[in-house]
Amino acid sequence: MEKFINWLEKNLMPIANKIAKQRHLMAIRDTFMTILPPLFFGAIVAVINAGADFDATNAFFAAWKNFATNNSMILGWLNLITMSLMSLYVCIGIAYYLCKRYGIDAYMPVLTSVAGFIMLASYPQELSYGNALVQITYWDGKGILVALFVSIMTVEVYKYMSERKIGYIKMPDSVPPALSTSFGSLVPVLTIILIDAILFIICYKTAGTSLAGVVINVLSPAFKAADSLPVAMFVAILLNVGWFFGIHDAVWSGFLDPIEYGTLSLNAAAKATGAALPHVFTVSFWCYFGIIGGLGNCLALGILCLLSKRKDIKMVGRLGIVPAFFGISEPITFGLPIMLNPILFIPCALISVVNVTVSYLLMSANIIGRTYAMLSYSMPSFFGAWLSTGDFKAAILIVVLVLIDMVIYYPFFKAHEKSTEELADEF
Amino acid sequence: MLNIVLVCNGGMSTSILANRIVDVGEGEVACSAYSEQEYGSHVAGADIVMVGPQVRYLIDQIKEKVGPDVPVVGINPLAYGRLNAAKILEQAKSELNK
Repeated sequence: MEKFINWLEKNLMPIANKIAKQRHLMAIRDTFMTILPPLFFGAIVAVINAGADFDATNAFFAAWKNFATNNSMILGWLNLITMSLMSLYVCIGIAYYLCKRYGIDAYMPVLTSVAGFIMLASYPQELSYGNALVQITYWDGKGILVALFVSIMTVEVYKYMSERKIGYIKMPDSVPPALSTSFGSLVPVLTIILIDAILFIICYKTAGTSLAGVVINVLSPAFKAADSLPVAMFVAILLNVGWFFGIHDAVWSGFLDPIEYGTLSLNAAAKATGAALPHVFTVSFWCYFGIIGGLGNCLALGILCLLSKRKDIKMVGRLGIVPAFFGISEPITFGLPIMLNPILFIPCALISVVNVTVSYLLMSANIIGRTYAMLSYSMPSFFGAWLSTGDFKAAILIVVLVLIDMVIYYPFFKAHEKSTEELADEF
Repeated sequence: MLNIVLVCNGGMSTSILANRIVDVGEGEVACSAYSEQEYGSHVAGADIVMVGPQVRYLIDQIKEKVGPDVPVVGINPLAYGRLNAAKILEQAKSELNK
């Protein structure tokens, strides 16, 4: 076991290190880390909106149902702005954070990215005086790849051209600096918008849709494949094993967030129109059902610590249980510790797989509701699961999963208790 | 005055620790916690940079950015998890006396 762990560490750390140096992936990660406030607003609207589906059993729920039904247009619009325009916000975020990581002024690249995104993720259906009808359904999760492409392409071309002063129009010194910068960026910006326009024209002429429409037609099998039980299990193992070695899951966000938030946004769009929710594996699925108490599933482990007879382990439980309730597992992970502790490697790596499998199967069979909202990473799983699905059975499932997790952890936890007496005075 | 900079992923879990380190330092120690994105603009004037165990894969990268004059070390994971500020302060001091 120790040999295997040493081998894994030797191979995993350099990968984490390389990813953490990759600017594009880090910019994607920074974006999703900061995009939550509008999504939170959208989630509250979605919870209110869910009232329309109630079987009104008492006066309170009947009034709620009435309110939601009567105001469905307003609630739908608020939900659309906050949840279903996600790709536009992602595009802005990536352009901004990539510029920040490169140390260049973000204003022009962000502006140009927004123009490019609107051009490539939507297309006009009718443009006449006083009446513009534009198709924006691809601004939700379906447009996320276009958002990544446009923002990264824009910043890269902009940086390349301005560093080499290609097409730089030099103004006399008497011209105010703000004005001369805007002239300086004229040619790069024109070039980028021209690239966008050419792509738009090709897609519109040949397929009658936007680039996002073409991409989704080509890649929708890939999107479907990304939402499957094997992928969810793989993610569960990768993230928890990484955590075991002290690799924060933020490392993998650059790859995972576009998928997990993309599927969530597609579910939100379906929910808003009353359609069946297409996806199971979303960011809320992972965060509330997959890792209960943070990576390492530290809620179950924290309860075991509290019940322990050894004073130091009980103390770890006291320090760690409240953070774990809010999905923060650092105190238990490093305090017990889980990290680099061969005895706890197997449960740490595999408990999420159990959680994910049970939840995935129940949701696929439509026994438990699927997720259509994301509240916050630190929302306790019990409430997060309930509110993100609108299904109280989901909250009960969390309680059951915590009990299962405790049963699996128990023998390993006991073995750990016996073998680490020497850590007892580390307080 | 000893000036310690802590770095972790979001600057959140280390900020609890930062307050405790200031408390056990009895007025002799300044300590603040920053995220991986923002620590760069706060290392000027730091005596030592200490990195949380959950981002220890960043240590090489942080060393590069901080330069050779300021030591960069990973925080002892067990002391970190148990919020043992006295032990971490001791680790910082012994690192500086090397």
